[in-house]
Amino acid sequence: MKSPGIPLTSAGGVSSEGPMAGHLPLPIESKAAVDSFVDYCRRQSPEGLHGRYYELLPASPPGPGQQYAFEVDLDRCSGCKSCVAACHALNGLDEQESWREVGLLVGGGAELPVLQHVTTACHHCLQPACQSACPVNAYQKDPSTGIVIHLDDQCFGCRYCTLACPYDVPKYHAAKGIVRKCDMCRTRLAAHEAPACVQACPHHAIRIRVVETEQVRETYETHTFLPGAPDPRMTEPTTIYSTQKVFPRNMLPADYYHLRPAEPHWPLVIMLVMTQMSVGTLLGGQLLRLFWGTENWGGLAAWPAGWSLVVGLVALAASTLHLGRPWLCFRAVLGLAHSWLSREIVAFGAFAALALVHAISTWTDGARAGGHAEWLGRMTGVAGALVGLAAVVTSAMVYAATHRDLWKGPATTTRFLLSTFVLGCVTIWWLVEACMPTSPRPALTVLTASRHVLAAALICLTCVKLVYELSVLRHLKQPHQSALKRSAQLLVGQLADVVFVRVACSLAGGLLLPGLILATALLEELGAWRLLPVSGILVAVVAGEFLERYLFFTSCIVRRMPGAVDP
Amino acid sequence: MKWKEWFFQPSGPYTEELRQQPDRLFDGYLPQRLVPDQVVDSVCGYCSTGCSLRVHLQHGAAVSVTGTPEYPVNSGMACPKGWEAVRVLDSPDRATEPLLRVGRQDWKRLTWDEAIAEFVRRMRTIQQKHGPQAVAFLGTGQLTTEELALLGALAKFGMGMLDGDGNTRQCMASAGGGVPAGIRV
Repeated sequence: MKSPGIPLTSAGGVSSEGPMAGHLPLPIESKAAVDSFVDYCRRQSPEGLHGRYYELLPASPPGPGQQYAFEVDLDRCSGCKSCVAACHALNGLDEQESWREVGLLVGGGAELPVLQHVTTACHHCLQPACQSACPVNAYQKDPSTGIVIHLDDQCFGCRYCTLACPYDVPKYHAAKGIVRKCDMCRTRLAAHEAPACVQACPHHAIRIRVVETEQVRETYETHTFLPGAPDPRMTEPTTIYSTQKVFPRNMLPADYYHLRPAEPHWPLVIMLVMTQMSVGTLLGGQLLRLFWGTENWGGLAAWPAGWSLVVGLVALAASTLHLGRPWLCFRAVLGLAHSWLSREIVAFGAFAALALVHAISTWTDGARAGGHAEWLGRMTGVAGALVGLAAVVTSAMVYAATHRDLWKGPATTTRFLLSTFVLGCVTIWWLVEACMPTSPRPALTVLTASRHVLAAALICLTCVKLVYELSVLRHLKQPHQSALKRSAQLLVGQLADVVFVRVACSLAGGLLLPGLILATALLEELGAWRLLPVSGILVAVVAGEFLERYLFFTSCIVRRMPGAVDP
Repeated sequence: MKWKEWFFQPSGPYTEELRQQPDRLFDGYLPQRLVPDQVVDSVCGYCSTGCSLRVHLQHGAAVSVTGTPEYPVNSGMACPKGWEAVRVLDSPDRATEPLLRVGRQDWKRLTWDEAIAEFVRRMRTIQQKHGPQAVAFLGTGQLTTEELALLGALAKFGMGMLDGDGNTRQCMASAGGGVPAGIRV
């Protein structure tokens, strides 16, 4: 930019030409003593700001097997947050937007309490979780500098990267509908100017280093990155936190015991429950046909197919509401090679297509056996059920891929599949009851028998699901503050009301009412009104599932770098 | 947009918004919308350190501030309050013209001449009735050293006051917020 040795005006006054052009000129007569002193200092250090931070930048750019990395000297960081303010000011960020944060570690004891401020931005990881999660390939790791770059215009605002990053780095910008994050001021670095945070730190605590990729990997064999920070082996962050001091062994983030429910992501709650209901209904319809045969169906074959299609399409439409820029939703297929979100979208797309053909062929065929429509209906029914189940598994993998403890693969898959079965069971039962008046007489005995099977299945599935969900509470007994213990603490603490309503809905709709119906002749006695309690069961069970999914999101602990004291 | 860009758009309006270009006045890289057409070096009004801040102006309005690189006090750096020093200009509470209270909640706008005349008239009345030391001044930390020296000279030598104080003594707003947050365990 500006090399040392550019001559300044020798008169000591501010010129309106040359390097000082644009600086408002001062007539010499009105100069105060301090201005003369400033001019003297200018003459002594003509390289200005660049002279001050040359030592904070590497001498040459990274070569093969190397990349740029932040180095934070913890012994120099005072927690003043000039870096945060400078990043905000020099990058032109919007109100409340911040790409760099300052947190606090506390430890020691009453005799020697220890405080350590920690400044953190993007770690430009070797295995960026944001990049592998992104369904539209909006993240690129620059091969020469190693900087993880976010392509703002490619982003459609799904926020999956905000769930995947263990350090909570990408920040969603609601007004723009995209995510933005630190790019190590790569334009500045390329011009050998220091990033904003490096320029601004009054203590020279932040500098840019060139690191060896293999050395970074080797460091993480010992799992040391920073006390209280997430495990570095997940993404291999490149930031170096250095100190000459030895931390006390009880250094913990200042917000370690602070519990806050996470964001519920309502469009995702709705999408997950409704896609699982759609798959469950289609599956249930196929199982019913398998056990009772087509000739007993009457008009019953078409209803599960139609319901499954409508609910599935509404679910997929609802999911686009989660996007910051929904009109770009078709870009989601781009990340198929690495992103579970892309795979989920493709899988449900295939399911929706099969459900559509299945619904059309079943509706046009009606109760007639034989013919092409019936064959097509059966094939798409079986294929749809299988693809649907696979799609539910991809849904679970979307969350498992974030490596959050509450969302581990087997647990989430079990949870989602149980939802699928519960919702399918209750929906099929409702459809069976609704279709009974219009069914031919021979079908009635079969349908009444299936009612008992469905009620019993619902009771069993509800019991299994409730026990499975609430088993996370066993972590309350753990002595240390694990992520699952925190989730359990949220469930019995701030989320207790929601848990209560969720359990009440499931008990009422999935246990008590079906039990009552099995034990007594309630439905036969009600006659034409029998759809009322069954509708009540449907509403209660579905409400319970929505609340369960809400808890799935809100009770999941957000991992991040050490934060500040809870205000 | 070309049809390929509907699927993959590596650049566009959002990227342009943040793209930095070299700027002569700041002597560094800035995004397009922050590029100043004029800069002026001023002194921060927050604390007594007196860092020099380079105010970036666009069409005469201050948009941003950076540290003045050559100034020996801060060598181009600033604390977070300094970085955000021009934000007070956006405050809706900011006083921009003299106002005279005419009722409990009513204000009348005055010109500067009218305001000074009214001030002098009332001060003189009090001092004539009760003596010159019957009035005192309350200053602020948001004054430069030179301005505070002028205030003292005006009040004591010019107007004969004896007593003066500043909100600086009581106001430790940033420290009051920052210190408990920093050392609360």
